[in-house]
Amino acid sequence: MIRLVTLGEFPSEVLGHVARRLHAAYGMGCEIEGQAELPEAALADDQETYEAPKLLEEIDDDTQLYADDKIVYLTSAPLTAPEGPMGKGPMTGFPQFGGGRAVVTSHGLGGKGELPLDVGLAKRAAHHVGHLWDLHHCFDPRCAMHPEWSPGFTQYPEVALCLYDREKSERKIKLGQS
Amino acid sequence: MANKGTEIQIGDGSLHIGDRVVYPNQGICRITGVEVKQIAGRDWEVVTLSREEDGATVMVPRAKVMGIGLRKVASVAAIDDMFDQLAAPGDDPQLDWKVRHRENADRMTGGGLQGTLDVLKGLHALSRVRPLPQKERELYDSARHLLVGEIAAAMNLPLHVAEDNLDYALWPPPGMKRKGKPLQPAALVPAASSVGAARPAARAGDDEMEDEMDFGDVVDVEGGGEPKVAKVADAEESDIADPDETKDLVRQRAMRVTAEEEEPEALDELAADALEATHEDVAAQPSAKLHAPPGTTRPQAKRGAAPPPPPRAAPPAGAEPKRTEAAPPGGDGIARSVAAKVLEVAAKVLAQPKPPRKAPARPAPAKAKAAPARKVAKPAAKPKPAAKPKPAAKKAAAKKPAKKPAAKKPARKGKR
Repeated sequence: MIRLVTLGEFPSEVLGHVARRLHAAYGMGCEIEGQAELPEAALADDQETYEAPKLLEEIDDDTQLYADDKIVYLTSAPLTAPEGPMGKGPMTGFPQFGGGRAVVTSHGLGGKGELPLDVGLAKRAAHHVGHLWDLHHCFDPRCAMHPEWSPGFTQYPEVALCLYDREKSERKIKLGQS
Repeated sequence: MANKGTEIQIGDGSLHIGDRVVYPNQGICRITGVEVKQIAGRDWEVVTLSREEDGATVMVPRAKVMGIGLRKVASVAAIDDMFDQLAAPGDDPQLDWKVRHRENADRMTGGGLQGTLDVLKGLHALSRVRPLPQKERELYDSARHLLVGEIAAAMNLPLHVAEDNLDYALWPPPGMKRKGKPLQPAALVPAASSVGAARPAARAGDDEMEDEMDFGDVVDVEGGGEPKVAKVADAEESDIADPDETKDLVRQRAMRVTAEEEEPEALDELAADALEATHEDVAAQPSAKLHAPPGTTRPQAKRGAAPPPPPRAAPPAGAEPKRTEAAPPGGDGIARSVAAKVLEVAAKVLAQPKPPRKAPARPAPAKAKAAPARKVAKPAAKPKPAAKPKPAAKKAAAKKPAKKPAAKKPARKGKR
């Protein structure tokens, strides 16, 4: 089961769209759990962005997880992550790779050259849920696992996985404890 | 029986207990000890590893540690150098899948960090040209999994950050720089076949391509851009239209047909027989009653005298004489003998030394159709001199074989 928890206000139709798209992409149940507060402790030094790994650690959420359940936190706040050898890049979310929790931001969606809020948030959420199932980035621009900053990600707004990623995620889901 | 001492050297001496290692088939592991296990009645010294992803225990015979490609996690400097290579433009991908498969398999097991990087980069470059086959897609994923794990382990980064950084080099976002040098932003790549992609054009030299498409003669385009088949067809046409070739064909056919006939007859007699066989109103009258189905003659007799049959028009030009039940039994044979004679006479005429008049390369189709009609109508209209029908017959004979042997290549090959 994929559980959606909002960290802020989101229109109900947007949440419904995200839930439907996640259900269609992974063949799993997806439900909206409720709302939680953004942890102040996760604020970065600039006091505007949130450090994503810290946010996942600090979040105060009483959502119950069973076996292989996944929780996706949806926020509109900008996120950051530790800087790697290539420097800072665009940040649309942060998953615990192969784990159970991910945070996805809608920051930047609906702007010029970007996807609309509902479509973009659904695709970003599907991308990071894929990382929760150990999926890596895919070279196919139509796949939801294509890097989210790449032109193909906005060129193909459909939330779909390529054959390889779909089979891999299905294998993982079948082997899951739940 | 476990030995947990850190002083124990494993493999070539570079590995110790507690080290984080890369196991190409499993991912990032940590060496937990060396143990002696009794397996199938034998004592085996095995190195135990703990897989970092899920904590699973992996045991490897100590003697095979180097053979499986077990190596230490790369240093930060090596990872930094790897990113330089990733950000640099790559070579063209290897298009021969056999060579590629062999090279990639060797690189993954024994190539270390550089080998894994080469596999990833090569397959990434290939994926921009054409969709990867299933096995190579798996290999691409394995190489990516190993590199992401190694980057994360070496630089102490979350896995997701490591993967994002790997792809910042492969698919640079706008404004991305590497050591102050701006990188070319990623462009839209063609979609893969798994989601319905078009087949890329650049597959030259690939073996599968030749298997999938049977080029044969059809697309063998030569310098002028005209398909070879079209040229061959043109050549065949021009060969057939060659007057010498036509003469040969007529002669061969005439010889073949006359060999079957026993008594050659004069052309005019044969033509008259053919006319009789065609015009049933005269020739077929006596046998009509004999061959009529039962019940067709009696009602006619009851009704009285039948009205005179309307005058029949001559058969259409080039049409075969109509075969009816009322035709005389020998009509078919006569028609055949007429054709044979026509061919024979045509061959004789062609064999005679001719004035320097050149035969037309391709007779007009209108004449070819008109010739038989004239032949049939001749005796009914006005008797003409016996020599007159010869040119018409000659034309008909010269044209008839010119069409039929077009498909017979052996006849052409036997050209003298």
